[in-house]
Amino acid sequence: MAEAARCLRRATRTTSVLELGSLLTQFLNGATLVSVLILISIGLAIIFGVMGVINLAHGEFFILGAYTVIAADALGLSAWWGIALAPLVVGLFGALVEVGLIRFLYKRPLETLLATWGLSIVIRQLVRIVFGVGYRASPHPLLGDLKVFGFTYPIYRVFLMAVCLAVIVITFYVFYRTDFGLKIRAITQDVEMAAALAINTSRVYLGTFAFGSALAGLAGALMTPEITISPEAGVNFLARSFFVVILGGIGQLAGVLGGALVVGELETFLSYLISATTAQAAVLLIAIVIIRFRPRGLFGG
Amino acid sequence: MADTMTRREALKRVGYGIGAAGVSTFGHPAVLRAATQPMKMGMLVSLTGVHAIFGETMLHCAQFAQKEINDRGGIEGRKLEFLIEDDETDPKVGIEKARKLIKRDQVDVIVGSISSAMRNAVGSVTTKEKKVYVYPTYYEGGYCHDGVFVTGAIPNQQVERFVPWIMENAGKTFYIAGSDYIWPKETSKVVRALVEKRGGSILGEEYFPWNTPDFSSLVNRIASAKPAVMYSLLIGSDSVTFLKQFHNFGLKKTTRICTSGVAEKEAAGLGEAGIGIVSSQSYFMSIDTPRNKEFVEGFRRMFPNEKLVDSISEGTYNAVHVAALALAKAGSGDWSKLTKAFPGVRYKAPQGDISMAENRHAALNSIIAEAYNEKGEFRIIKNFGVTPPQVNCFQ
Amino acid sequence: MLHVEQLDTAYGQTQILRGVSFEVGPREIVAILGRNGAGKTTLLRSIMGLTPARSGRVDFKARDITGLPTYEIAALGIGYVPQGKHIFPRLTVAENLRLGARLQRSAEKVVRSEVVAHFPVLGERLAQHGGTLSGGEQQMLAIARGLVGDPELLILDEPSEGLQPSLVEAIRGIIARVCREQGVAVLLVEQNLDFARALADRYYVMENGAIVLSGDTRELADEEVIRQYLAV
Ligand SMILES: Nc1ncnc2c1ncn2[C@@H]1O[C@H](COP(=O)(O)OP(=O)(O)O)[C@@H](O)[C@H]1O
Ligand SMILES: [Mg+2]
Repeated sequence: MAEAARCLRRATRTTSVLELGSLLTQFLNGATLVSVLILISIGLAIIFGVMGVINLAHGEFFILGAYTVIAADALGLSAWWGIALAPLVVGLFGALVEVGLIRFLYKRPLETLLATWGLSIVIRQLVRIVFGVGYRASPHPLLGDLKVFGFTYPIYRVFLMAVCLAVIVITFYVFYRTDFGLKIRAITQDVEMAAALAINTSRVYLGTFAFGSALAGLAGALMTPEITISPEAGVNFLARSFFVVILGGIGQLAGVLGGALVVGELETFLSYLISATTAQAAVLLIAIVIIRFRPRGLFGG
Repeated sequence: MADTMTRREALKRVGYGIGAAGVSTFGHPAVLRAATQPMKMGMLVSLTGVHAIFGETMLHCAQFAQKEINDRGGIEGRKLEFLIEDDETDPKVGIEKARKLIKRDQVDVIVGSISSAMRNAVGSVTTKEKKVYVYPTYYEGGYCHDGVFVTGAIPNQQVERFVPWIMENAGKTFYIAGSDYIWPKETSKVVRALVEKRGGSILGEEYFPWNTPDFSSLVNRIASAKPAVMYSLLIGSDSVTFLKQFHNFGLKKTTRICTSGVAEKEAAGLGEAGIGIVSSQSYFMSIDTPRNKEFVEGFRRMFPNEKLVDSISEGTYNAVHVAALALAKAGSGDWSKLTKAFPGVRYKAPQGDISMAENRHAALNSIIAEAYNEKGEFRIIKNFGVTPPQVNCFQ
Repeated sequence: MLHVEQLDTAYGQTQILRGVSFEVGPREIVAILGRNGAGKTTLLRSIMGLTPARSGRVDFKARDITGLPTYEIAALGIGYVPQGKHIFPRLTVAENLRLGARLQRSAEKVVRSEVVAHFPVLGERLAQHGGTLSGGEQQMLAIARGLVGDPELLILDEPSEGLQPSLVEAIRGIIARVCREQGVAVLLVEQNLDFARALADRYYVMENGAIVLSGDTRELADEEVIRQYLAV
């Protein structure tokens, strides 16, 4: 009750100071968060949708992308190099993980869950050994503002949104316009029949896992200027992206977009009006209600 | 599952090189044993989980203090032995490990913990079991239980001298943001009282849940409110995330970041974004005294990979020394003797002279410093010297 | 062409196939008959590597394919039309066909191929999702998909199942024509005796996972045999 009253007071206070610029900024803040959630969740959703593998180490793949930027920096390369290398490095790492671990656990969801959980611990420890336990700073690749009609917004955040858009376009292109995508969709619908049509399913799985990992790595590298870089940092993002994937509808590419949109914009706007703690709780509550009435997610068939 | 746990355990060992510490004392004649038996100190620190970033250095600082004590002949001729436990940044585990240290290892005293939640958990066990516990981290103050002694700073020590300085040097309009738990809220009460008493104003006060990934809404509100000072009471990774985003939005140009929640470790994660932040702590690594130089150099000789020491780790180092002095006075870990031995203990710490007050807290130094480079190093702005602890018991 | 020798297959502890041996020659159409649960589908799945055999051996084009992964077996030139069609419901008809052609050819070429010309209904529904087709159209699609990759052996698992008589007749006609035209050998599993008799050159009868009878389909008129092994 007291909380509600306080929210209301706050809301009225806020409305009085709302100006157009601030509102636009708030909208862009939400759009950035949505973009980030999409970037992080899309690999998770693809790997689950195609392979049925819930990758509990996805957050650590994200962190590996961030540490690729750190490593590149230590080698004297710019942050842009780090961002370019991250999807390659983490994609390759994902491929090794698929060949060395995931491959032996197809159709055994429980074992996969345990194995990827164990993997997440191993990656965290390796990162600690190589990079140390402490927070690491990274160079900012593009500090500065974009100015349009006297309105300013950090240019790097605009860049983030653009990359997210590009990743969405590329992913949809791969899925719906390439032979690899056709194979992926066939496998998702009927894996035995796909094999009986001479599709090398394990190679497609390998490619899918590597692609999903590469996206996580790219997301991690892109986010370095905006997040805390530490071996433990992956966990926050993993939790949120599961949330997005479940809300959007498991195994649905479009669902990731919808889920991220709901979670990101809702959280940003609510936390502008009410306290951040209440806002995050409210988003969770709204999501639970949605899932209660649409158990297969917003976009689940 | 069992397999993974073993692997995790194994990696932990590889990662920290912690071996089982156990010195056999059997075989000595009973009379001799009392004198030669070691003093046992339980070190309860976070070696895994989110607080590992602080826990590892805490442990190393404690081990450095242990080495110094034993090199000088131990405690009244008795060797100081450590029993190390990882609380995994989880209060439930902390309770279990505290019980184990007391019941099975029969330690004479326990040192450790970072968060208030962990301290409450461990303290609930030590007070019940009548075992002395030393808590080394800066916190909200007010924790008054028999046998719990504090070597970290409390709000009056971090804030009383700091706020007037801020108002003179940075401005009188404040915005406060903190992590959503007790330390920021109690500290903010003290800040608010001081600011309002001196004719300043608080334009906004907000609290955020752990692991908030995006602070841009807060940054947007700060930009609209245009305060002269942003007083940050966010903690750990949330503090780093917020300050990076604050910097990215270009707000550092108009608003000064002042904080009692940022020290060397956080600043190292900020890089360029940390430059110009003013922090108030009881210790900074850059204190320019022979005593601190001796401390930092000795520590680095023992742990060449450790780059940064902060007030939490120095507090732990002090806790071990202070506990050793109290143990020497009391002669054993006996509850009634040892609790009486703590008040009045004085120690020449790296931060300067400190002493244990009757209220179980320590008189500590109040120092403000500014982060001036990308490596997380601070330049001392002002050292106010010793501030006695003002404790209003509420826990 | 296809040689199966002493094949044993089990699901867990339950043995299903017991020493099955038979063969299909080049351009030959061979039917496997038997009641529900006799093990016919399991036999086909074992040949395709979908349910690997415990022991025994399968040769295709004089090459040992036992234990090969399914996609390699299929790539050697076997078209598989499983029981229950198994078309991809959320892929278009054209995409289903392209997968049948092993993605070797562009969609236009596949669609305009000789094989697809035999299935005029599909030509009108190329952009439709497979799942929106009627049962008969789905069976047409499954067969076309099995043939469009130019296999040397086509494996059909009960293609007439659940279809109305006019469609059964149409499908029989198409299979006969295309297979004769393209020179494809056919391994046909059926319970519809008339359908099998009209298509196949030779037959095997399975019961309890074993071949119990075989011969020329022209001689498969004996009422006694039918009652004993095939009638429900
Ligand atoms: N996946 C399976 N697991 C266990 N038993 C099965 C499985 N599939 C089929 N069976 C059993 O194997 C036997 C043969 O089945 P099947 O090969 O489908 O026969 P048919 O195709 O001749 O009707 C049946 O008794 C059936 O119950
Ligand atoms: Mg069957």
